This record gives sequence, C-alpha cells and structure tokens, in this order.
Amino acid sequence: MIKFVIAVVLTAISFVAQANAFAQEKFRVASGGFSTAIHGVVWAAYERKLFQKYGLDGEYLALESGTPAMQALLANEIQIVFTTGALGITANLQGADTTIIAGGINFIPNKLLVRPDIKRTEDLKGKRIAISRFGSASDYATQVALEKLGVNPKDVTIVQVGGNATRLAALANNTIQATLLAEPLTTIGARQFKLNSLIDLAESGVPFPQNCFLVRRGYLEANRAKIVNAMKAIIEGYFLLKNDKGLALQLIKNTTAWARKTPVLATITISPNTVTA
Amino acid sequence: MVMPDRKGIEFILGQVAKDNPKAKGQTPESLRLLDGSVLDEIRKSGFIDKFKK
Repeated sequence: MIKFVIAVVLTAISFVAQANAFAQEKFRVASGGFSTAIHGVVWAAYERKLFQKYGLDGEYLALESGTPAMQALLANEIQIVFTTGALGITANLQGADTTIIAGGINFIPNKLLVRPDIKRTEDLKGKRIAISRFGSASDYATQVALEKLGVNPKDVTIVQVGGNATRLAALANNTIQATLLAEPLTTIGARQFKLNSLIDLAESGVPFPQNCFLVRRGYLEANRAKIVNAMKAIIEGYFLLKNDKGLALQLIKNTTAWARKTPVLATITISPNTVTA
Repeated sequence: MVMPDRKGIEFILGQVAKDNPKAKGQTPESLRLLDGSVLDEIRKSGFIDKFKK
C-alpha cells in the first residue's frame, strides 16, 4: 500500500508486482489531474505494460489534481509526474529541485463551461467559479479566461473544488456556476447537462505549460537510465494511441467513466486491467 | 513529445509574480525548470524514428 502525505486518501490500491529480471524497485508515474484525454499516453504505457518492457517495475497512479502529485514527487514517493508545469514553477520558487523533461500541450485546452442559464459574460457577475486548487493550471487558466472575457475577478467568487470530474459534478448540480474543463468532459457537459461555453481558451493564443513531465533533478542525476526508459515507454504509448484509435477511445471512455463514478475521491489509483482490448 | 514553450513558463512566472515577489526577475533558467537532455538522448538514439516508419 502506497502512503501519500496528503490530507485525504480515500482509496489506495496495491498493484500486483510485475518485476522482471531488471527491476529492482517500484517506479511510479502519476497523473496530477488525470481525467483528460492527454493522459492517454501514460494510460497506454501502463495498460500495455510498456514500463516493464523497458525494465521498470512500473506503477501508475491517477491523482485527481497536481498538488498532491507534486507533494508525492518531492517526497520521493513518485518518480515522474504528468501535470501542469506551473506546479514546478511554484515548487522551485520554494526551493524544490523539480525540472520539466518533456511536455504534452503548450496551450490551454479548456473551455469555460457555465450553467445553462448563463448566456452572456455579464451573467457571470456574482457567480461561483471553480478551480482545482490555488496555484493549479485551472487557477491560472481561469485568470486568463476572466481577463479575456473582461470580467473583474472581484465580481465573481473563485472556489477550490477539486479535479475535473468533481468540478463537472459540482457544475451539473449547481453548486458552482462555471469552471474550466477539457475534453472529453466539455462534450459530456454540453450533451448531458446542457452547459454552455463562454470561451474556448485553445483559441486564446496564450502559451501555457498545460501538461508536463516533471521529475526531481536529484533523482534524474542519480537514476538517468530509469527516467530515459520510462519516457521511452510513454513515447511508445503515444505512438500506440496514434496508430490504434480503438485503444485510444477505449482508454478515454473507461477512464472517464470510472472517474465520474468516483468524483469525490481526492486521491485515487487506477485499477489495473481497465482495458480489455 | 516536445519541450514546453518557454513563453508559457514566462507567462506563469508573470502571473505568480503578481502575488509572490520571489517570482519577480526569475527565468526558466534561473529556476532550472527545463531540461531537454532526456528527450535529446532518446531522439539521438533513433528510438522515435522507428515508430515513424
């Protein structure tokens, strides 16, 4: 059982060890905020046992937001975190030694989804807008959205609610009235809950380190071969998805459905063998 | 797989600097935030090219 230094751990599932002749210890890769399609590259590497292929006893953890993932990285509980680069910036400003070794998306792939009764920017006044946590990608991206829409931040209330699936659930039941979400949750929100979109930040032109692979420099220097091999597994996972649309769709479908069934979980681990292809 | 755009890092630094004076004057280099050596090593090994064929 993996222990994390975080406030709330509701579920932690041990994975069956899949050691091979080269594996000496667990190598943990985590998504910090996992319920968007870009994380498919890591899901594919895990599901198809590519970490094992490259000599690592790999585990994958799906954490609802990046903050606990960064805490686990800094505590050496996790070796690679896939989350916003913004968290590396704030961590290093406090003296941490994180570094970004690769990125996935260099823009903000989010739409500001709002309740069906909100039709115009002016309707946002007095409403509650949810972010994951202060300092998260959703926090900074929300600041961008408000600026682009010409909304004074003082005219709305920013609340910390949690990860993507949790925010969608909160928006659907009107606990909040707006939040930024990415695919596939934006489509789900529009189709199932008739949510509107006020702005698509992908079209904003704002450069943004939305998804980055972060490691500790100290770990990289001492274990370079492991990091290189883990990234090989993830890159192969990317090409698997690119060449196997069925696998990509199944991973997205299964993981999104699973995340939405457990939207209140602050920390969760993805169960093995979620893909039956 | 690419490295993050340094403009994105600079954008976040600018946002953080509004509330955190430690961020003022910082750069991706001063915080040692970007290390492209792992991707470079993988690219130079030919690993990525074999998937493009």
